[in-house]
Formats: sequence, structure tokens, C-alpha cells
Amino acid sequence: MADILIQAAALHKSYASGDAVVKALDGVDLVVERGAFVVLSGRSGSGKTTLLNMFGALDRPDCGTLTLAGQDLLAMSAAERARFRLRHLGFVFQAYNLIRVLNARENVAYVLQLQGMDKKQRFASADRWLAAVGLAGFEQRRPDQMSGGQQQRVAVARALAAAPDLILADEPTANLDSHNGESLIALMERLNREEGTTFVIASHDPTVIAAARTLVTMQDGRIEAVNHL
Amino acid sequence: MDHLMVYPVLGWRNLWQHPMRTLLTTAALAVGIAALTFLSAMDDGWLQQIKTNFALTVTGHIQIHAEGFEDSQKLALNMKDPDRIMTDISNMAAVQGVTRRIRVSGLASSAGANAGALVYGVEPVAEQQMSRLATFISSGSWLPEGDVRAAVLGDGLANKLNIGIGDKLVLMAAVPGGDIASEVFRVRGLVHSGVMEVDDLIVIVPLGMAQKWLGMGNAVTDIVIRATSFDAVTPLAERLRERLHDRHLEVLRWIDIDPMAEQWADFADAYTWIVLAVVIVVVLAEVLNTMLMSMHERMHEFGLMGALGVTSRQMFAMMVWETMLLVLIGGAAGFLLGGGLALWYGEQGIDLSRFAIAFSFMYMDPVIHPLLRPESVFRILGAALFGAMIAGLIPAWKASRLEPVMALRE
Ligand SMILES: Nc1ncnc2c1ncn2[C@@H]1O[C@H](COP(=O)(O)OP(=O)(O)OP(=O)(O)O)[C@@H](O)[C@H]1O
Ligand SMILES: [Mg+2]
Repeated sequence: MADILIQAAALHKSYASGDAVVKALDGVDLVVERGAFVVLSGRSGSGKTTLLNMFGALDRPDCGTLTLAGQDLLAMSAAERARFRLRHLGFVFQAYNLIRVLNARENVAYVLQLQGMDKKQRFASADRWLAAVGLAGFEQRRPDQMSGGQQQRVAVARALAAAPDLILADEPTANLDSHNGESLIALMERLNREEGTTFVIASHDPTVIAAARTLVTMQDGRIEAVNHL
Repeated sequence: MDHLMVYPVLGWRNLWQHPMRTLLTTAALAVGIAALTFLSAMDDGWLQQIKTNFALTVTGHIQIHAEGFEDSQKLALNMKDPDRIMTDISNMAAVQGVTRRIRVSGLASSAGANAGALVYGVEPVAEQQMSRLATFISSGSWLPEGDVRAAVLGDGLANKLNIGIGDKLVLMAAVPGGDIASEVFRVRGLVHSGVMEVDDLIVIVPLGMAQKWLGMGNAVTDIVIRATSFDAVTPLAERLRERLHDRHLEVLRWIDIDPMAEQWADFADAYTWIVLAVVIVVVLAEVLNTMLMSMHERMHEFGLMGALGVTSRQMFAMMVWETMLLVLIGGAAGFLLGGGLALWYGEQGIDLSRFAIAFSFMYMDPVIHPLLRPESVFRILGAALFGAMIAGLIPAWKASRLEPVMALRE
């Protein structure tokens, strides 16, 4: 029996927008196994980001249950959630993933520093991960000296360097051209295979959907289908 | 340890993301701090001058009397053996000079008039190193050496008595036993100090003759001490009290002797607080706006950092650091500028004689020498950093309360 990483049941989340109430999540049940490569797809507004934020301990549902790596996310305080994110989660957002005043190496090393790793070790680790994502030689570049694709790779390196249980990526290819998008997703696939790190990626990019091993389709805050490919 | 270093580094680099804004802010800060540092030095210099002029017009820095003399002004409360006290204290650290005096109220008479007088019997030579009295001679001369019946008197008193240089003057006072004794002197000089209580009241005669006239032998009422500096006065008075305890003496500082001095000290204090308050306001006005702008531009980045697991406290520390650095740069530049100006003008002096009317005030000279006191400088620095703290706390508090999800949506 495979090891279960995420277990979500009956997640609801509503937003008031003007007079209307938007049900961003309307009863979501989902189980994600360790080592999975999950893509959340669905139309704009279907609730992908909202669900991802729940998994990322960035937001809380109105009701439902959610455990991640055996821990009840909904029972945690804000500070506990911050610590949980630092220890267990990695993030790749659509854009502006990096701290602009830090170079590539420092961006990767920053999270390791927050985890308490000493300087020599974390710089060595950062350089190793930058090389692993194909950015050897870019260690000293600041974000504004790198292309969008390179910045996304730094974000992936940063996420992986922290040795998380789960990497959450929200539209990671949306700001990239198709070539860069393909190579980023190929990188994530490879790291998923080689490192065994679990990925949950929200995207409506066909290239990303094509790479999914578990494809979760959402509509109006509900899960419409789960396909294991 | 090294995780602490990241915030100054982040703060520093963030400041230079907007070099123009940072430079403008620090320049404005520098000008403000420079002006306040200079003003404070002006004030300290001016106060120092007033204090010096005031203390050294007659009083001296510290006086030793027989216990109770200052309150009672009774000649019977005198010191029989001043020489012993003088030798005991003359080589103490921070003592620049020591003289003896007799101080007594009496009646001055000329051929046609009488007036109340405050008579000082002084050591003619030593007194010139102690008070400024000898510098106020407006006609005639200071007490000539060897001229035992010489008298110098305030020009206002001379007017009242209708006498001038060379005229005879009779002084009358109650001696320690209670009898009235009188003595004849000859006017050798007039003083004009600008201070009414001096010019209208004072008569200065040689100590030896005063002792003889009042039948006091070798006794005196005042031992007057000049300290090496103003700051040395209070500690020196303490040490004198220790050394002279059990001898039934009182040791009084100039501020203990003249109540007016107390008001000046209060005034100086009030002024200091105003300067410090202005420093804080200047810092707040310059920095708060810059920091809030910087924060709003970085909402997304704060959200990102929050998502990565940076805690509110760490976010808070980062913003406070950034503000501190901004203020330190501006403050340092301001101190260098203001301090430099204060030192330069401290040497040169600032001549305000063109505004002479405003300076007819008695103890002021028309040339001010700004004085850079370490205490004042540190106080201003402290106020600037305090202002920085407040200015930093507001954006820091806001930043630390951001929800990562909300900030990421920006
Ligand atoms: N903070 C919010 N306030 C109000 N409504 C919100 C908020 N966040 C999300 N919503 C609404 O909830 C619904 C789901 O939003 P969500 O961002 O999860 O969609 P999505 O699937 O990620 O869309 P997209 O593909 O455009 O990113 C949408 O209708 C959105 O407008
Ligand atoms: Mg979305």
C-alpha cells in the first residue's frame, strides 16, 4: 500500500465578492500519494489556486479536513504553519519567485539558512542544485539578470534544495515560451523520478497536462475527474 | 549567529534598489541632523558662555564658607584659619585657582551721600585670576599692589555717592562682636559689568585692610575656587565635601549660591528636549514615508517570503534593520556635517554683534563659540535611532501581519 502524503476531505471555501458568494472550493476530496506527479487542471476560476494554497498551508478551508505528511494542517497556528512550510514544502509560483536583491545562489541558500544550515554547506548545496537544474555558472546572477525560464529554474532548485515532502507549483510555465515551458516541466519530471519528490502542479498548459501522471480535473470548485496515466 | 546577518544585508541591498530615493532621503536626513547638531552646539556654547560669565563675574565655581554663612551672611560665621584649608585643597585635581575673600554688607558714604554697599575684601593679585571683576574696569585702575586703602567700586554706586577717581570713601559695617566699625578708603577705579547688582552695589577693597577694619585678624568668609572646567565643578565639590567634612564648613557650587542659575539649567534642559523632539519628528517625517513606499512595492516579495516560511518576526526584523540603516547613513552624514561646522565655528566664533540689541542681555558676549559636547551628540544620535525605530515599526508591523496568500495576489 502506497504511502499517503496528502489527504483532503470535504474541503469548502467561499469568498464573498460583492453581494454574491463564490464557492471557490465546494467539497473537495483528494488523496495524493508520496512520489506522485499530479497536475490540477480546469478552467480559469475552477479553484486550482485555492486548493493549492490549502495544500501549501497558506490558506485555510471554511470546513473539511486536511492532513499532510501525517500532520493536521488545520490545527496549526500561523507560526506553526510557517515552520511547516519551511520544513516540508517547496513553492514555485507563476512569476516573481525570487527575492530580487539576492543572487541565484543566495536565493537558494536563503531557505537553507532559515532551516539553520551553516554558510559553507548551504552555498555548496545551492551550487549543486543550480547545476542540477542546468544553471551552473549563473550562481552570481540577480533575478533581473536572468530570463523568466532561468528564474523559474532557480525557484525549482530552491524548492528542491530544502528537501521538502511536496513541491507545489502554480502555473509555473504561464510566463514562459513553449520551449522554456517544456524544458521546465521536463526538469520537474526528471527530479520527481530521480529524487522521488512529490509534485502538485496547477496548470492549464497542454504541455504540463501531457506530462501528468495523475491528472485532476476541476470545475466550479469540485473535482470532476481523477485520471492515473 | 550568521542567520542574524541576513537582515542587515537584505536591508542594505533593498535600500540601494532605489538609489535616488535612498540618496534623497538620506540627504534630507543629513541636513536635518546637521542643522540640529549645529543648533545644539550653538546652544551648548552659548550656555557655557553665559554660565562662565555668570559664575566668574563674581561668584567663582565653588565657595567654601563656615557652616551657615551663606544663609545668614553673618560675619561671625567665618573661617579662622583659611591658610590651612587653602593648602589642603590647592593641589587637588581640577582646582585651577583658590582665593580668599571677606564679604560683608555695609554702608558707603561720601562727602554728601550714603548708600548700601556689598563690600568684598579680596587678594588684589589672586583675584584677577579668579573672577572677571578686574576686566570690568571702566575708568581708573584695579586695586594697585601695596595701596592698602585703595577701593574699586561699581560705577552705579559711584554715581549715587557722586564720587570719582581719587575721592575719599568711608565704609561702615557691623563687626563680628556687634559693634559698628568704619574705615576710610580712596577710590582708584570704577567697574562697569552690565550687571545691575554688581554695578550699583559693589565695593572692592584689599583683603588685609578689610580684616583690619573689621577686626577679623586672619579670618575670611569665603574661600573661592575656580575649577579647570564646568564639568569638573560638581565632582570637585563632592570631593571637597569629603575632604573637609567634620570641619563645620559648607561647600557650595555657583548654582547653589545663585538661584538664577537654576533657571538657566532648567531652560537648557527644556531646550534640549525640544531639540530631541524635533530630531525624532525629522527622522519620522523623512523615513516613514520612504519605508512605507518601499514596503508597498514589495508586497509580493513579502508574500513570497512568507510562503517560504519566513516568520512575521523575521519579516519585522528585516524592516527595522532597513530603517535603521537608512537613518544611520543619513545620521552619520548629518553628524559629520553638523559636527564639522560646530568645530569650525567653535574655533572661529560666530559674530552676532550686528544684532547687538538682542544681546544687551547681561551675561552674553556678541561672539558665540559653538561647543560640541559628547553628551549632546549622543543624545541626538539616540533620538535619531529612536525615531528610526518608530518609523521602522509601522511598516515592519504591517509587513509582519501580511497574509502570504493576499500578498502573493498583489
Ligand atoms: N481572495 C479572493 N476573494 C474573492 N474571490 C476569490 C479570492 N480568491 C479566489 N477567488 C475566487 O474563487 C474562485 C477560484 O479562484 P482560483 O484562483 O482558485 O481559480 P483558478 O482555478 O486558480 O483560476 P486561474 O486558472 O485563473 O488561476 C474564482 O472565482 C475566484 O474569483
Ligand atoms: Mg490560479
